[in-house]
Parts: sequence; structure tokens; C-alpha cells
Amino acid sequence: MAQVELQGVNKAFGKTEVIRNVGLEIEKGEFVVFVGPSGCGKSTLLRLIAGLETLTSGDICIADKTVTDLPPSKRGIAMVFQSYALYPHMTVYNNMAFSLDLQGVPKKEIRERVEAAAKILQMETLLDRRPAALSGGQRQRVAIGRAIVRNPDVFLFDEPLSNLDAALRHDTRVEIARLHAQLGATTIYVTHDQVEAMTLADKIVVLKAGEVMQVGAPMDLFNKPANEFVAGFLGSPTMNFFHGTLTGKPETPEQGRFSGGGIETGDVRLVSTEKSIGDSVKLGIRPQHLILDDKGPLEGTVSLVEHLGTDTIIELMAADNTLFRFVTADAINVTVGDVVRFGFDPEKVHIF
Amino acid sequence: MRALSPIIASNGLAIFLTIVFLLPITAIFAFVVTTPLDDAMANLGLWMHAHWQWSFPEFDTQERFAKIGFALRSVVIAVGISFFYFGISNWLNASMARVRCKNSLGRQSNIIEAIQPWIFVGPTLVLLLLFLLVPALSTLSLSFQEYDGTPSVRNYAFLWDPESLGYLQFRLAMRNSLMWLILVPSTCIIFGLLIAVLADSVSWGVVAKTFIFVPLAISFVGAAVIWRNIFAGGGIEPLETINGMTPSYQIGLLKSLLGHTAEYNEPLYSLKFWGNFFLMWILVWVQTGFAMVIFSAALRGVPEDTIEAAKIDGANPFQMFFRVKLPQIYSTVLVVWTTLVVLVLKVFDIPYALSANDDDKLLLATMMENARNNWSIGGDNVDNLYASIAVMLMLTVVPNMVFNGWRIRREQRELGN
Repeated sequence: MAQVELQGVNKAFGKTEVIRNVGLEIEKGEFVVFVGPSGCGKSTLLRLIAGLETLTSGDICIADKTVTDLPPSKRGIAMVFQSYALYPHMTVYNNMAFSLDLQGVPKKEIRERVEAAAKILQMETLLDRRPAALSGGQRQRVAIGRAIVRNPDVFLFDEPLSNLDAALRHDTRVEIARLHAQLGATTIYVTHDQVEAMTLADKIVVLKAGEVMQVGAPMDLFNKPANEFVAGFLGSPTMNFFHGTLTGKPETPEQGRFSGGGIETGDVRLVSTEKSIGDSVKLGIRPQHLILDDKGPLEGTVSLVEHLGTDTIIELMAADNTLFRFVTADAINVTVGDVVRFGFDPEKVHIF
Repeated sequence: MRALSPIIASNGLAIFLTIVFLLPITAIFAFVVTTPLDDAMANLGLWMHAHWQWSFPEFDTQERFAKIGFALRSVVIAVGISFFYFGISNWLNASMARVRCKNSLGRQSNIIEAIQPWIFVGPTLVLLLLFLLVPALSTLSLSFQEYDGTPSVRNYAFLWDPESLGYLQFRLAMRNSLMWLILVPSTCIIFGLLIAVLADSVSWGVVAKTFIFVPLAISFVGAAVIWRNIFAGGGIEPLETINGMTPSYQIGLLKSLLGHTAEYNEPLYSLKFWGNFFLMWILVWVQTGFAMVIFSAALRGVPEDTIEAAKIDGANPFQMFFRVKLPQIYSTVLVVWTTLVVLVLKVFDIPYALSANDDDKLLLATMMENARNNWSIGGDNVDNLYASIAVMLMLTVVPNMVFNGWRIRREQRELGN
């Protein structure tokens, strides 16, 4: 039995449906990331699991127990909020002890558990301070500590890094990964940042307009996106799409041939298998998977060159006015206006 | 480089003297020049009188229109003088600084910035001095004098001498004031919080809050009259005189509900000792709306996420309120509390309207008025006695002021961190 199970979960605010028929299974100890553009319902889904919103229909089970009608505190969850949500009038110690105190845990045990959590997070020296006297990163750690102290079945993180600066965000991300490895707790993590999703997750759930687009391991999603949205959402810079038609469909159902914009392919991965020959389709190639090739089928005029130090991103205009990008780690000497030709590895392209 | 302070001092003095001479002259000049306007207004009135054939005497019309004219030009001149004051003093400040430090813009602006705040604060300071500090000091000195000006502490005799005028009244007034000070603010705050919290959890909360808020718009005397009808005797017969006051033909709602008959018709607020609480209730009724509105807004300001975090932590509604919400609006509660304390110290109308002559219901403010009205037969130093009670009233405000000052300083320190 899964640690967290969502069955046909629906949520509507008035007539606006924000979550549509979501079904999910999360195994014990898994790190699951909900990712999607803003407004896709990922935070709402997390709040439904937390019990801060009520379901319109469906069921939620946590640790083999239906929790649909239970209040948040009885669900065996702990949540870390985007804005930390620390109680400003309590010291760090009291912030962390509050939930245990409400449960009536003996003072001695509270002290032990708070100190243990503080030790894990290396903030034993901060226990007497108030949140106002802490930096953003320290506050974030208190918020995580408050969750650890409860020893929940499931940790819920709602965009916990979005209020931190870039350097701290990286450190805290590493810290969260380390914590997860150390505690082995089931974790659900919401973010709009695909780097966080790719680096932290055992399993990514991509959401769009309240629907699950794809569920899977990060590299599976990256290499075998189930649809154009997932392909375009994951990966930076975003995948290049070229318009054309489906010219062939061999025996194997997940293969097809593409023609358009001067590109002709052999049998490559066909994602939208419902399309038939002659339908207009798109060919997706990641900027990283283009190969400089003087005799390649794809021609583009350089319109922008960005040197990032490690990588160089080149923006080009194809003959049919399609914008596309090329990324390379190699030194490359092109300037705006140059015409460059590319080839690609047929194993790494997709037809949508 | 010469020091700036002598320049600032001399410029300031020059501006001050100019203003002191110029403003009254301008005002008098403006009034003199505009005098014919009153006649013009009066003539307008006469013309209207004739045109519409008003029935009352022509002289009344003439006088009233002249008064309107005077009022109008007074307003215009007063506003004009204010603008003139700011204009002329700022202009003087800037141009004198320019003359004194021709070559240094930095020094010019230093001088201007040193004087400018005083130009804006100055009038307020003068008004405070004239109408608050001077009267307070003269009250103080008056309270230590006999009627003929010889120094004396006899006016304060009610503090220690059981034989003296006002000995009993002062004790009753202090007892009552203390009860009012403790009970009224705390009851208002408790009710205000309760209603603010409860009203948020029902759909008709806005309507309920409106009803609680409405009494705030009623004057204290008005509220006293309303509640007199509820607390008054329950009989249907006209009531006899009680404590020197004849209650009118009353509804006596509460007493009727309690089953009191015409035979037992003493108003509830006249009861010995307990009557005080019925008087306090009137102020609570008026002021709860004030506390409620402020707390309502403050509770809305409690971050939603801390409430959600507390829900996840497992707080029940009571713990949510007392351990999460209330501590976060603590400073608002303090502000409301001090405001109500000041208000209670000023309360005069409610006890005066309902039980002016009852020593048992005296507050310091009503005691002062009583001293003026009733004690004149007892001595020749009524004004001085009156002053000494005023000083006592002032002393009771001091702890509150000290506390407020301390609190504001502490809050600023915390913000500074």
C-alpha cells in the first residue's frame, strides 16, 4: 500500500475547477515534486493533502488511513510554508515545541525532541531567539525544524526556497536533499523551479491547469516526455519545436517520420500516436541535442549569442522564421548574422 | 569658516519678530479693509427680505446677514493668514540664508533646514503653551492659594482632614474612578475581542458588527437617556423624587422584566454602590463598538499562514485564539486599552446626567462640577478648591501617560532592531 494515495481528487472554487480528477500513488520514503507553471494547481493539491482545503470529490489516504475528512493535525503531516509561517511572538524553541505542547507531550520529551531537531539542522544556538532576529535562511531552517519535531508520516513543502536568494537557495536545496536522505521521510514538495524538481525528486508530477500531465523519474520525463507540454516545460533552455507533417508511420506504433522546415527524419520517436500520415505535427529537439554539422538539414541565422561561462546559448532563426536555440559547452566562434547548419541524433528527437 | 549657530539663531529671531509684528497688523488690516462687506451682506439680506416678503422684523434679517458676512470673511482671513504665515516665513528663511551665506549652497540649506521645522511646529507650540500649559500651571498655583492670594494648602484638606469639605466625596470619587478605570476598559476589550472573533465565523457577522458599532455614534448623554429608560423604575405610576431627582414617567424595561412593581421603583442606577455598575455598563455599551472595530481589523492583519500552521500543529479554536492570534495583536490591545483609560478619566456626562447629586456615584470629573455647584455655601475659596480637584484629576492621568511613553519607546526600539 502506498504511503500517500490520491483517488479521483477534484477541487473547484465556485465554478472554477482547479484540480481535475487527480490520481496519484506515493511510496514510503519517496521524494515527490509537484511542478508546473503558476496557477496550475500544484499548491492547491498540496493544501488538499494537508487538509487546509476541502475536497470537492475524491479520496486521500495517508499511511493506509483515509484522511479525507480529518483535520490537518490528525493527518500525520507537517508542512513548511513558502513564507515560513513562524509564530512571531514565540522563540525558536517555542515555535518548534508548539505542536508537541498542544498534543500534551511531557516537557522533558519536548525538550529532547526539539534539541534533536535543532542538532540535525545545526541551529542549537538559535533556540532562544525570536523569528524577527533571524535571517531568511535561518527562518527557513526553523520552519523545517518545526516539521521534523512532529515526526510526521509525510513532509509537505510549499515552495520553500522561493523567498531565498540564489546562493542560499542552492545551499538549502542541498540541505533538504541531505535531510531527506538522513530521515528517509516521505516528502511532497511543490515548486515552479524545474532545477529544484530535477535535482531533488525521486518522482516528478507535472501539472497543468489542474491535471496531471506526466508522472515519472526526472530523467524519464526529460528523455521521454509524454506530451508537448512536459517536453517544453522541463529542460533549460526550452525544447525547440519545428512545424511539419507526419510523412510515415512504420509498423511499430511509437515511431514516425517527419518532414518540414527543410528537415526530413527517418523513423524517430512518435509521441502523439493518434496522429495519422499527413497530419501537421511538431518535431521537438532539445538545444543540447543539436550537433554542429556543415551538411546538416537544419539551417539558421544567428540572432543572439549568450556566453554563460560554462555554456554558450545561441539563438537562431530558421528559414521558415522559427526561432530555435543551440547550447554547447564547447568554445564556439560565431557572431550575429552568421549562418550555421545543424544535424541531430535521431534517437533524441520526438514528434508531437 | 564661521559657525552656523549664530546665523541660525539670528535668522530665527528675525523671522520670529517679523511674524509677531506682521501677522497681527495684517489681520487687523484685513478685517478693517473688508468691513464694508458686512454692510453689503446686510443689504443683500434686506433686498431678499423685500423680494420674498419675509414676515419677521427687518432688523433681524439685517443683523443675521451681517453676522454671516462677518463669519465668512473671518474664515477666509484666517485661512489666508495661515497661508501668509507659512509663505512669508519660508520666504524670509530662504532669502536670509541666501544673503548670509552667498557662496555656499550647502551652508544655505543647512540654515534653512535648521529653521524650517520650527516654522511648522511653532504655531502648534504656541497654541499648546497658551491653552494647555499656562492654564495648567495657573490651576496648580491657584490650588495652593486662599481666595485672597495668600499661600495655603487648605484646598487639599479633603485629602487628610475628615472635617473638611469634600473629604467623603473625594474618597467615593476615587473608589468609583478606580472601579471605572479597571472595569470599563477590560469589559470593552473582552467584549470587543469576543465579538470580533465570533462575528468573523458567522455569515451575518457584518450585520451584528454594525449593530454593535452604532452606539459609538451616540453621545454619552444620549446613551444615558436611552439607558435611563431601561434602568428606571418599573412602575406605571409617576415616580417620586429619589436622591433629589424626579425621574420622568418611565418605561423601566429591565425592571419590568425583573418583575419589579410600582412600589419598588428605585432606578437600578441609583442603587447604593451597585448603581455604579449600571452606569459603567452604559459606557461599555457605547465603547465596545470601538474596541471591536479595531480588533476586527487587527485580527484580519494576523498572517493567514501562521493560522494555517497552527491548524496543522493541531490548535483548537481556543488555543488558536489565545496562543496564536491574541499575542500577535497584543500591541493593538494595549493601544485600545490606553485609549479607553483616557476616555474613562474624561467621563463626565453619564454619571452627571443620571446621578449628578448622588455622592455614591461621583467620579473625579463630576466631583469637580459638584464642588462648583454645591459647595459654594461651604466656603469662600470655591475656585481654589475647584482647582485642587482639577490637579488631582490631572495626577490620575500621569501613570497612564508614563506607561504610554514607556510603551512607545519600547516599540520603537523593537522596530529599530
